[in-house]
Amino acid sequence: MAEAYVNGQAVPRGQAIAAAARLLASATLPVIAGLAADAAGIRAALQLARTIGAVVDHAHGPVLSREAEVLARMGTMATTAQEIRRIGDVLLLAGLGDDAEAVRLLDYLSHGTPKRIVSLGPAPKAKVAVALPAEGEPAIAAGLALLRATCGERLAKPPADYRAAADLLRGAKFGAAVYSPALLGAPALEMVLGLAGDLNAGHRFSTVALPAPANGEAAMQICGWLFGVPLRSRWMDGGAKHDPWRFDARRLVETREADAALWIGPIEDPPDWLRRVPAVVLAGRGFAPDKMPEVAISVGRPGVDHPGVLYQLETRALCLVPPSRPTALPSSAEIVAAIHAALPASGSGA
Amino acid sequence: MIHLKGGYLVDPVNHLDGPGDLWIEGGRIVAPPAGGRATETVDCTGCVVMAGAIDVHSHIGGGNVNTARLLLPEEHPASLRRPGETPLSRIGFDVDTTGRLYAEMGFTTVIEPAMMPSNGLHAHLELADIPIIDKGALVVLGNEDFLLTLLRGKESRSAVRDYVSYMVESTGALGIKVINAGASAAFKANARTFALDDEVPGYGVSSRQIVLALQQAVDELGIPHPLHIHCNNLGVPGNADTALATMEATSGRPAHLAHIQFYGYGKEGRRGFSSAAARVAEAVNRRKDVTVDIGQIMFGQTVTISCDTLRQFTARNFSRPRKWVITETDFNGGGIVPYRYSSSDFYNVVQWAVGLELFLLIDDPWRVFFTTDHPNGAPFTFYPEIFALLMDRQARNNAIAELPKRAIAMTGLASIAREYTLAEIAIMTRAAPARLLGLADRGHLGRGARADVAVYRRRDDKAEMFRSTVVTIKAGTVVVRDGTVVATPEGKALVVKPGAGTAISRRMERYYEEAFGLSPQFFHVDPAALGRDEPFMEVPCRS
Repeated sequence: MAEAYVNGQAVPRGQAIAAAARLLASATLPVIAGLAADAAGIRAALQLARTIGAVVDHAHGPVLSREAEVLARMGTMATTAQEIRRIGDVLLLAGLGDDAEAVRLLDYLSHGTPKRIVSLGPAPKAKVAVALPAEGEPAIAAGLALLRATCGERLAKPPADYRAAADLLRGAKFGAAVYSPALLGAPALEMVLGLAGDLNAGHRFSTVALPAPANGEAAMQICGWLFGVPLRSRWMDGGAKHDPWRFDARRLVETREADAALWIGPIEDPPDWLRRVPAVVLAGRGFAPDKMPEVAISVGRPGVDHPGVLYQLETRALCLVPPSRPTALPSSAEIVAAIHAALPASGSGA
Repeated sequence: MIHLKGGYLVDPVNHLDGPGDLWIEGGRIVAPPAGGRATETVDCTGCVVMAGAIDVHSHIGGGNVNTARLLLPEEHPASLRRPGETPLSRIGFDVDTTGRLYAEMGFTTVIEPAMMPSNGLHAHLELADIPIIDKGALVVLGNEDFLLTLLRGKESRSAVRDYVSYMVESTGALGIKVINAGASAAFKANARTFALDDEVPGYGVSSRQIVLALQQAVDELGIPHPLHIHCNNLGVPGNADTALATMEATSGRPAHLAHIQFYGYGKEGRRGFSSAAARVAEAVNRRKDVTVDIGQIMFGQTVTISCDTLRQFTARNFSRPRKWVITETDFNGGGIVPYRYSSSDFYNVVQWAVGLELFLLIDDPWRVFFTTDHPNGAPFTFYPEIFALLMDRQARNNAIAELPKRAIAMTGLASIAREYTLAEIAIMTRAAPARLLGLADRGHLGRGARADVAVYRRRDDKAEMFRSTVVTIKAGTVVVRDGTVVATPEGKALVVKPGAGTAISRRMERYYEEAFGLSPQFFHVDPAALGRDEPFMEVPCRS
């Protein structure tokens, strides 16, 4: 990828920035999506969204939004992978899945205090004390409900394997349910958090969630402090509005309610649905679509090309990651700020 | 040059309590220029001119505060029918509003009292996005495996000192807070209560030992702000004994007891809950090395945010609305529990009265600080109403008259006649916090002071007077005019650098690798990561 493109033609970066500013400023309902960037890029994007009245959503908006809704409905009981590695002695793998991040998480947890494992549904390969088979999300949700009822002594005759699993969980010094929110629907999420909460009546138990990819948790946190509400929000009428259905970037683009999009994506390339509206894409070096969007600007990947603040799986906190092979590519934050500065004076939409 | 003309200056540090002018240039208060002309003259006729106010304990940023935002979207102004507001909708769910609302009330420096080390970078990013005001953060220590292991091993005072120094420098802190020392660690081992002489299971170290070790380290490092202590047994009937025992234990060195209202309780009466404010105030009056802030409660919806995970786990049973968050880390963790203080609830009314009693019975305004433990007792936007309750006995009596007599009867509030003077308010909210935090450059109007200034229209209704300023000036820039923000300069984060050695740095690297497979760099706050020019301002340690 060259440094920038306008309508498929390689151009100097400054020209692409000006074109991006024009496109976004002239939109009636712009969407800023992806937000697959470091904290600085996300902050800059949200500041731009305030100025132009854009909707903000993340590349992994569906799962982040589901988690946010469950949090606002019931709260949570949670801990860090770091602490479970040190003190956890029982793990309940509850819809963890077996992708690379799940494998990395379980591997990280398996050090420190020796652990006994109950697994429910797909999980990375591991030595398991009790396996509760469940195929698909509804079965995992049902399994969690059955397990919660067994732990709470609400069943006259629980299945033997559930009884064994419940005994193990209730015998924990400090146990944790480890799950991937991407694999669980809202009822299952509520059930896993409710189970962990229940177990604390007499024991200690908590949860460790696999963070959403592409710095999604950072985007949610930053939206929390800059907008005061979760992602899938829009700054309008002098304040933030939040509506997980109304401000779903994909829905807005697919229905063409939105008329322009800015995808901030050095960590994750834009999906195909973005093509339905004129788009500005900030992308990493490898971005090579069949058809270039209206404007594309090459940016560095945080933690690779330049330092970046990224949400960490181990600590569930923001951390400054140094570049693994520094380059001179600009950061998302720099480009977004340049677009912001290039907006025509009359272009502020909100 | 700005000329504040014809106001009434109140500055106890410089013995000002009368009419006078103030001149500001280059971000500082300067001598009246000989024949010089101001670029701007503010007519302060009928106004009181004070230094910008300093809040020593207000949860304005960091992971736990942000989780509260995400837990309660229904309290965000966007969720309300218009017109309409709730107490929480006024506090600024976003950081921009937080800075604006503080500045409108004449506050120019605010201390976030509970920065968990693991959330240090998050906290500083959030604080950096709060406009106008200067910030400082107290880093929370006292429940982490590393420190407890040092104490179990009876390691030297210098080892604890080096560790504290390392953590302060790494996280960009202004001081140290200890929150229910050892209790979060004990809660992980299934403890449900934890007192001053209880030991953390597995470490054989008592809460008292942790507090004393940290207090000593802070003192010996010359960190200006004394150890900021959140005692054991917060909210528990009869816990005045805990506050008194903590003062006794820490005597001989400076100690700051936070939100003391939550420890002002006796066990008298049919309900076993009463005010012990007189006892606590008497002890504070006697012990000159103790300072306290109040943590006043006010009635209405709020959300409690605390790193006291053990206490918040119990408090979850009282959550309103019915939802709560408990997170646990190697450090304290956090508990977020929404709560509604009700003016018809016996216990809440006693709490309200206890806070006011403590304000009024502690004689020395240099040692008692004005806080609601925002948002735990009430959102900081209630400050004007609290100023009125302290400065105007009639306003207080009117408020008391609205409340259940059986609850007020369990307190001594109705019999207290004291009214705070303007000079005492200036001490409590300006001069004393500056001294407590080691900020010699602010809290007064002397020449050379940072030009953080608040101008209030003098009114009989003190709540009205303190709700918004005629002018607020931050570091020489007019940021508020007639109650409206007109400029949003960036504030600084105040930090101390007591000087951490390289030996402790190597030891921390080894420990983190062994215990967590990580580098302690993960909680290091690099100012370059904050995206601001010079985000930090260093406050000197005592030599």
